[in-house]
Amino acid sequence: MAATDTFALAPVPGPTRAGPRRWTAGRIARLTTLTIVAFLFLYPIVGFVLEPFRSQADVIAGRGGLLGIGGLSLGNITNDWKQVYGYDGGVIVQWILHSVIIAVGGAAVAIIAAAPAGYAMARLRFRGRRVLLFLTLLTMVMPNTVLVIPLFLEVSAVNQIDKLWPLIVILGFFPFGVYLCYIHFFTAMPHELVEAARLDGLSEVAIFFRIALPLAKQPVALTAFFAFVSNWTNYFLPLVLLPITASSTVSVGLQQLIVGSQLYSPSSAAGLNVQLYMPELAFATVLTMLPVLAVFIGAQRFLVRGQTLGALKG
Amino acid sequence: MSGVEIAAVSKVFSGGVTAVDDVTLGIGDGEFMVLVGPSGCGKTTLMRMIAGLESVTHGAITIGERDVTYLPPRDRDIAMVFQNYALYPHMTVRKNLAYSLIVRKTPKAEIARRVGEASRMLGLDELLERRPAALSGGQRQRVAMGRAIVREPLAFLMDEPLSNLDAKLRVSMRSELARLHERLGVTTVYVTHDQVEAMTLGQRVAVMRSGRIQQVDTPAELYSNPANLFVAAFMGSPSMNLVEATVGGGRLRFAGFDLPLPADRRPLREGRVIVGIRPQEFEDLEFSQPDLPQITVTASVLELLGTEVNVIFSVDAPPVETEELRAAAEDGEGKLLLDDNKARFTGRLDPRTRVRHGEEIRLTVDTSRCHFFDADTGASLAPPAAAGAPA
Repeated sequence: MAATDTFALAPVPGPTRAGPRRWTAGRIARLTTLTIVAFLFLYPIVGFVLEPFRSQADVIAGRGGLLGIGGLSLGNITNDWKQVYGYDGGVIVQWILHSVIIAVGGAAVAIIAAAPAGYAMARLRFRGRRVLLFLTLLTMVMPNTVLVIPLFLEVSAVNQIDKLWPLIVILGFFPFGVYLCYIHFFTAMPHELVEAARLDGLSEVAIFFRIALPLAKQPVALTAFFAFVSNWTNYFLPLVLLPITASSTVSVGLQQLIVGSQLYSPSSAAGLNVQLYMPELAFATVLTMLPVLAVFIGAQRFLVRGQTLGALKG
Repeated sequence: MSGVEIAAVSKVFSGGVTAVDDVTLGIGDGEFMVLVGPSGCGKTTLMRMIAGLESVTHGAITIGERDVTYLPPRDRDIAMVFQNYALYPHMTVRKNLAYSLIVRKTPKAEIARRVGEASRMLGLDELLERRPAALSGGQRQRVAMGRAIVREPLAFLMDEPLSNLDAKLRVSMRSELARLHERLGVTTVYVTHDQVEAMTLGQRVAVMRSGRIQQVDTPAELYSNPANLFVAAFMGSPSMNLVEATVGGGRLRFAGFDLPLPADRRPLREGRVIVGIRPQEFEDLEFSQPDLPQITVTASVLELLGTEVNVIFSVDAPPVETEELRAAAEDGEGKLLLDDNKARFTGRLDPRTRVRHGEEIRLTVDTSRCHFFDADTGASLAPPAAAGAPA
C-alpha cells in the first residue's frame, strides 16, 4: 500500500438532537444550593435598597412583611432627602461633588501616567526597565494605609491640607493601571507594529500617540474605571487630608452622618434638627453609590472584553 | 546605485549569544537576494540589522553607497514587509498605504498618485476603504506589499511574507512577487526558511547556518554544486540521499554496491567519503538508459505524486548522522523511525513505473552526477571547476 493512498474515513456522526434535560438528583441539588446562596447574597442588598422607601416606625415594628415590601412609599424618600440634606446645611452635596472631582481627576491623572508608563515598559528598551517593572508590582501589593501618615506629613509641610488637588495627584498614582497597560501593550500589540511605525518615520513619542494609544481603548477604559472606583471608595486619605467636614468626601461624610444619628450617637445627635435613622442613613448610602453604579454600567462592555485582555495573540 | 553591502557584520546579544558571525555579503543593484536557512540561523537578525531594527555589534552596512550602520530605520530609505504584515488596524487600507508618505509630509497629489499606482498594481482598488480586520490573508499581504511599494525605497526587505498564507495562495503570491520585482527592479532582500521559495524567487541565494553564510550562489549552482554537506542536505526536496562510501580505482563502493565512477566526476581525493545522490539520479531501469550503473533494491514506501513516483528504500549502511544533517533536517524530513539502523534513500522515478510496495526493483544510478563530501569536515570534494562559491 502506498504511503499516499487515501483511506476511507469512518463517517463522522452528525449532531444529536438535544432533548429536555432530565431532573436528576444532582441537578436538583445544584439548583437548590445556587438558589440559597443567591438569596443570601441578594437579600441584604435588596433589603438595603428598599430601606429608604420605609419609615423608621415600620422598620422598628417590622411592618410590611418580607423586606418591608408592603409598606414602601415614595413619600418616605422625600422625607429621607429632607433629613439628609438638612444635615449641616446640605453638606452631602459638597461631599458628593468633592468625591466626583477627586475620583474623576485622580482617574484622569492615572490614565495620563499609566498609559505611557505601561507602553514604555512593554515596548521600549532602557536601563532599569526590569527594576521599574518590579517596583510597579511591589507597590501594587503594598497596602495604601501604610502611606497615609507619610503623605499627610508631606502635604502638611507645604500647607495644602484641606485642598483637593493634592488628593487628585496622590490618587493619580495607580500602579495597577500601569501594570494593566503594560500587559496590554506587551501581549496584544505586536512588536512588528512598532517596528513598522519606526520604519515609516515616526518618532517614539509619535508612535505612542498615533499607533499605540488608538489601539489601547480597552486598557485605558479599564484603568479609568478601576481608578475611579478606587478613588471614590478611598477612606483614609480624605480622612487625614480633608479634616474639615465641609471639604470631605462621601466615604468620610457617611461616617459623619452615622455620628450625627440618633441611633448610634444620641448625645451628639441631641442638638441636631434632623432625624437620621435607618431609612435616612440607607438613603444617603444608596445616593453615594449611584455615581459608581452609573460608571460601572457604562464600563460594562470594556469590563467584559477586558477579561480576555492579553489572552489571545493579535 | 542601490545595492546593499554587508561588511564583516556580527551581532552578539547580551548573554554572549552570537546570532550573526562575521558575515560579508554584497547585493547588487536591483538584485533579488534570498537569505535561507533553518530556524535560528541568523537570517532574520541579519535582515533586521539591515533595517536598523537591531544594532550592529561589529562591521558596517551600506545601502546605495551610504553607510547606514548607525542610522535609525527611518533614515535608511528602505521598506520592509513583515511576516504578519504589521498593518495598522485602526486605519483604512488607503491610509495604511499612504501613512509613511503622510509622516514624511509628502504633497497630497504625490501621495494620491503613488497610492493609486500601487493599488492598481496589486488589485486593491476595491479594498481601499476597508480596515485590515475585514481583509483576507492574501489581501493583507498585498496591502503590506503596497505599503512598501509606495515608499519607492532603495531596497525592499521581506521577512517571510508568505509563511502565513495557505499552500495554494503561497504559490500564486510567489509568482506575483517575481512579477513585481521584474517590473519594479528594486533591490530586494528576502528571508525565508522554505528552500523551495528560495530556489524559485532568488536570483542568488545565501544559505545560512549558525550565523554564518555557507554558500552564496544562483539556485542552479547551489543545487548542482553545493559547497558542503549542510547546503547539499538543505537544498532540494526530497533531500539528497547521503551515505558513507569509499572511492578508489575509479569505483564507488557503498552499502554493498560497487559502481563505476566517470573520470571527470571523481572527488578530489580517494578513500572514505560521504556520497550524495539526488533522488532524480535514480530511475526505473525500464525507463532509463541500460548502460548506466544499476542496483537492486526493495521498495518499502511508495509516494504516488502523479508527475512522479517517490520510492523509498533501505540500503545496507548506517545513516549519516552529523550536526550539519540535523541542522538541515529541522523540519523533520527524513527523521523516520529507524529500527534497523539502515539509511533510507528516496528515488524519484518515472510515473509509469510498475513497482509495488515490498517488491524488488532494478534502478539505474547516474554516478556522473554524484556529490562527494569529506567524511570529517563535510566540505565538498568536488573538483575546483565544479565546486560552489562559499561566502
